[in-house]
Amino acid sequence: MKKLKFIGNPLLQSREKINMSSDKKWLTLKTTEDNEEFVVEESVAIMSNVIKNMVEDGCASSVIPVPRVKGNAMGKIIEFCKKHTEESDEKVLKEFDAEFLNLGPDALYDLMVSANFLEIKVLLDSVTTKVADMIKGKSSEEIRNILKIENDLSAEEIEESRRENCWTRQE
Amino acid sequence: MGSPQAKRKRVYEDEDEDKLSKLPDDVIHRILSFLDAKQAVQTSVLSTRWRFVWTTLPILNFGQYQHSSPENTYNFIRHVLFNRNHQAPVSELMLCSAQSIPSDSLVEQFVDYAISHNVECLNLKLFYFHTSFKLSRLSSSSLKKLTLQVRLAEVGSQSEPECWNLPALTHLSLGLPRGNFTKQGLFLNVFDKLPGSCLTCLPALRSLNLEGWDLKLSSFAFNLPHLTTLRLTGCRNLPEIIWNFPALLSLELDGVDLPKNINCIFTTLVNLQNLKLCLTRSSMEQQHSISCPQLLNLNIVMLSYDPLYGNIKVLAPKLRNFSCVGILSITLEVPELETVNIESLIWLSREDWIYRKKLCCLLIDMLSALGNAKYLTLNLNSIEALSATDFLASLPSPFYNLEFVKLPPEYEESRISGALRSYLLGGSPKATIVTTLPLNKVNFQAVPVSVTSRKGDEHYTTQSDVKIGVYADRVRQIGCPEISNVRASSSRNSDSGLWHGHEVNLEFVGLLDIIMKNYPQTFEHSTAKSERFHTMMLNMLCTSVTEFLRTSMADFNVDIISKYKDLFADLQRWGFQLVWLLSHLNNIEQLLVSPHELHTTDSCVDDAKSKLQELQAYCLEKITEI
Repeated sequence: MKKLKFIGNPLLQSREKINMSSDKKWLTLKTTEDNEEFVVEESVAIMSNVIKNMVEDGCASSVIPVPRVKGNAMGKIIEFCKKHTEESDEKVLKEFDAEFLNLGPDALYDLMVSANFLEIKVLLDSVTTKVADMIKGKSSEEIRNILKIENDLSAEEIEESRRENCWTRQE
Repeated sequence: MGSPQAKRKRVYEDEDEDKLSKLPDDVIHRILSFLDAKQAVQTSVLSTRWRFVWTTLPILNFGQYQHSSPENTYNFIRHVLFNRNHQAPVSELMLCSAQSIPSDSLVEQFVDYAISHNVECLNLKLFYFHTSFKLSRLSSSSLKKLTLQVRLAEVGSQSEPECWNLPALTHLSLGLPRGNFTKQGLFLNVFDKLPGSCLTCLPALRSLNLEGWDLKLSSFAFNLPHLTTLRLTGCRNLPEIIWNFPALLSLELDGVDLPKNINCIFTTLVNLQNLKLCLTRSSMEQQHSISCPQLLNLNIVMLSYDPLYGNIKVLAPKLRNFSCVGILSITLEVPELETVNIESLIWLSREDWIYRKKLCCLLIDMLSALGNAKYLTLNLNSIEALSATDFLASLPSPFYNLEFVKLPPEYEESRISGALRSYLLGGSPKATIVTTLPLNKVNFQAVPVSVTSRKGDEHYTTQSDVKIGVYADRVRQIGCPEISNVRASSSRNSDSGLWHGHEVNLEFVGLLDIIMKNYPQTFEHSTAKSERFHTMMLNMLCTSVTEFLRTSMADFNVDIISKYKDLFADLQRWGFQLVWLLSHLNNIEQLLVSPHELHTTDSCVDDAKSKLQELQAYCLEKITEI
């Protein structure tokens, strides 16, 4: 029986890699609303404080159910968290954020609610800053249009509010 | 009004739905916190939902209101403070005013209101001449961050010293009002003296930022045991006693005249990791020595353009990143150096050739002290200074460890002269010239990232996807024990190659080709949720195969065989078709399990031997007969 030749010596280096990759834990996040599953690295998932606490308390099995977040919002959130764990260059991250958040108010709303629920501070700050930028310096009429807010105040109520808040139309 | 039209209408309504108003209050507060208080209050007219949200907004940011008269501004601020919901706390209050508010007492009321509402972050910047602020007004048990650009009351010759009590304060930033205008509009150029009592009664302080102060009266106060970050900008009369900041991690001295005993001060900062010095001309006329055992990042900026005469000696055994704006005379003992960034400030605008020659020599000297750098970044001026050095061709490369040299994007690689190329890259075989440094290699971490503890690798589960860690453990267990004694190779990612569109380790590409050629059915059904997964799967496959092939026959036993069986079964579950591998394994198992087959062979041989002997004996007989 002749000894089988081994090919090169990849073993040492690949062993190092296996050692390294065994440090990477993977979690499955399952959105309970539409039963979509997402496999993410633990280091990415713990950007959410809620998930981080679950993992640290040891009550996270491999599949973590996530209520109240829809599948497509979850996908976007994971994309955001991944980018933010991988990159440390601020400029690159700023550019990424600007493009990532180029969404309509509905999608931004979904992101905000989910980020608030999952306690992902970075994402929540980015989205809220974006919304604030959208309404900065605009008149109330314009704000209503941009954010699709329904005006249900009567004319008197508006006048009253203006008077109360010492604010004239010009300022 | 058929059904498709109705459907369309419904979809349109959905899109128009006012979702933003359904957000909880605290999310809306976050949005409003980025706006000026005036605009936040103006949202009260948007709808009923938004009418009173501003009254509970905890973050109030009053800007400069340049278009309003001071009275209007005054009224507005008063109104907001008095008409908001008093139960709601104020977490952040910011007032930045360039106009002189009619009543000085407003500012005091402002601060009092904030403090009585448990403010955590207070930011007060007054750009006009006002009566000095009394420190004792600012005593608060909740205040964590304080930024003031106001005139502070000096310690008078009267009774008790003014002192504040801020037990929770972690960040303090004190600056002088930028425009020191009196009510008559005269400009005062005053270095107010920082009252020494400012820096007392701050047991939790982590970060201190002082700007534009005369620190003569504060020398005794440079004693903050928990301080981790200190920044002094444009201050005078830095105390010459030894500063007591044992926990200091980051220090920035910007445009200050360094005290005479600064070398001693550096040695006492034993935990310092980041140091940034912006040196004035007078600072540079002395010799300086920076000797910090834990220093990781050093950043020196010359505020004056002339090549200066002093010398800096750096003794930092752990220094990784060195950045210098300007050229200076420096000697370094930095065995761990990795990243170097040199920005020369001025080059072409000085035509004096003696000056230019001096600059070149200084630059060459400086670079020769940075020989062990791995990543070198040069700006346009430095490159041009080097290119213009006439004796460059005769110089050997001072670098022997380079991996990447980053040049500014506006300098094309084709412009690099042969002499410059050999000067930069000549001593380092692996070096290349790039336009952007690979990000994962350059790391300006200020504080080491803490590693979260992992809950044991023994968390085995039965789910087939995901468990790379578990799999890896098992592969480790099967292998030959002597491998673990071999020194581990570099922990950087080894080169990867492309195999059929998947990125795998370079050494596996050949193996995968062989497998593909001989057993193409292996990859027919492999599935993976993501590209990275698939790459890992391929790498795992290759590793297992190579390990399997490496194990000599003598090392196989029943245990190892069953472990390999499990391994290959897992790989099969991930979609690889490994019948051929399993049949090999079975063959080996057969041989192990049935050693008596060898005996039978042996006995056959023995039989044959004895038969042969019989025949030979018979032949001999026959021959003798004849």
